[in-house]
Amino acid sequence: MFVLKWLDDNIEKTVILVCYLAMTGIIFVEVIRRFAFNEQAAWSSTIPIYLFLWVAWIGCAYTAKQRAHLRFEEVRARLPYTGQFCAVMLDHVIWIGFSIMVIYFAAEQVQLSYDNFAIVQGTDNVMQWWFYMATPVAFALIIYRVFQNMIDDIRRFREGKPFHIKAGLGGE
Amino acid sequence: MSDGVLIALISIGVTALFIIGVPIFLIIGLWVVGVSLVIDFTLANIGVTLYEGLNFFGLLALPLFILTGDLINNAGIAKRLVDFAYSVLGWVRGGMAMSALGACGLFAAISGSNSATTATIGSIMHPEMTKTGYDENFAAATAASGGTVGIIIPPSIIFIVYGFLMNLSISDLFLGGMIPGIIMVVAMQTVCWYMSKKHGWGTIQKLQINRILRASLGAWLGFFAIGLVVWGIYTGKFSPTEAAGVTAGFCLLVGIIMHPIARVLGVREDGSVEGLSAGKSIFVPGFAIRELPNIILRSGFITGMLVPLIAVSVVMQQILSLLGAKDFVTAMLANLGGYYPILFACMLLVLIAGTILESLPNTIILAPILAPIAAGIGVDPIHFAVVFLVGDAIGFITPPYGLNLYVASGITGIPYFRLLRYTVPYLIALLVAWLIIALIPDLSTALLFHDGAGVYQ
Repeated sequence: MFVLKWLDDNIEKTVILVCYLAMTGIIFVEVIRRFAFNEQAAWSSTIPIYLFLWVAWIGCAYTAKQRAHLRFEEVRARLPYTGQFCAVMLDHVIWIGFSIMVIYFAAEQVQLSYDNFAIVQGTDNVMQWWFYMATPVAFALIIYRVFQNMIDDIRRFREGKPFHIKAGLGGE
Repeated sequence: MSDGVLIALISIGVTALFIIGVPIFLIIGLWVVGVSLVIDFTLANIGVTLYEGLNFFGLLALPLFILTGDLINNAGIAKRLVDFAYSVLGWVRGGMAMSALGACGLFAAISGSNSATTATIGSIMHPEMTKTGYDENFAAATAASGGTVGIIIPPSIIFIVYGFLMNLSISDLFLGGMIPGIIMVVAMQTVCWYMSKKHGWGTIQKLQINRILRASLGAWLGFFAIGLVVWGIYTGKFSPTEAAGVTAGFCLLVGIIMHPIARVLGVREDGSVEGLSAGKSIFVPGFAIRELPNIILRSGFITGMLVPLIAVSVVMQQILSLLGAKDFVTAMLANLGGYYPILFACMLLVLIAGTILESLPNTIILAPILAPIAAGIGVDPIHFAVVFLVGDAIGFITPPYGLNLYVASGITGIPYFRLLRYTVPYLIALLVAWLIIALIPDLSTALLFHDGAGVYQ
């Protein structure tokens, strides 16, 4: 139970931290190595991109969790309460529908890469499909986060509390 | 119903969703899905492009420059740059606001994003400006407008995306943006000077060489970071992505190493150099290692907001080209004839699209359509890129959708619509600067090593 709670709080953060640091670190170290010793690993221009894709899509889930995706807020903020509730619910439904579609087609992509034993350029045994997993995994996470927000919003609606209309741009 | 009618209906439908506040990522996503179904184009393309559309080494510079911006802010380097700008401009009426604009330019030279520039400089300068007698609305408008140079003064995220799309050298684009970025800053400073003089805002401090020297000593790390990026890219020692990685790594190490030293020496946490000896002022407050996760998460948050938008816009661009949007716009503009009518028509399109689209979708969707048209009438590709992107930058402060206005409103608590009114003088200044940049191609191409005309890498 404790583990699940921790994961619920930190899963996106952990992935973002690890991938972001690794990606920055690899590029930094490899440029320095090229200057100092004239050598550079062949995978130093491929692996960071794949890490970046993980950061981007898991970051997308992280942003969705905080309802901070860029949007035009001025009209929604002036809608009547029930109108706001409908608009917020509409967001959730579209998120879920779009995510299901992405997962379906991205999974095909993973399957293809898995069947082909495609490896990352510049490496001997790093499989491409590990990285292709980024989109389906992230969108599955988005569905989960959107459900959480949806439950929260329904509870707010029942209790008559205000919704989160203004996107916080500051992160946490 | 014909496909055309259906596509028009879909477009109207998603615009309605945009108005009631559905996230832009989903708006573009829905449009793409809807139109793909209408023209019977495989949806599998979306699954592939959301991933492969981002699979490009140059794009990696984006998260790295975002991280750099957050690091220099947290390490207290941004505050030192602001202090430096103020020491230089403090003797003029309106000097504090003008130095906020100048600091935006300096910050933009290390980081690559508009909203980050607005957020950083705005949160440092807005309280100071309000304290010294500026109108608080004007002060917030200054931060919002000053942020627009964030994507023009290199390094810049949007130049990277533009170069990636249009197959132009990103280093050339960076060099092209330098002078126009400075022109934008000066244009806004002029307005700022005039407004402050008219209303008697702000205080005046004496111009002292001593103060400037002290402030530049305090800001040396910022200058070093700027120098590193410019030198690396200008000499071709590293690619923009590598430059971003090196600066990010450098700022990270500096921030961590300086933190304990600064504490021992008693450097103030807010980064102010007041009362410090010259020797001590070369140290910045830095940040503790335990703060690092939050800094990186903030960058991850921004990356997670912008990059999906890029991916989905790339899909939209593909669909538009399938629909023949380029031929349509070309045919429409061809009737105008002549160099200037077509250039101005392109600029008008960018500006109009920029009022509702975020800069990244705007670039990804419009640039592939307009750039070939401009090239066809003999506009230098680098020059056109700069003109296009300055228009894009102006879109950050044009209603209804102006991201910088949201950011400035968010950090200062001033309502969006009130902020809008106070931004008008800056908007006019930027439009004038834009015209100058468009009319004098040399401003964009003078720094290039070679004659940029038609040189696609």
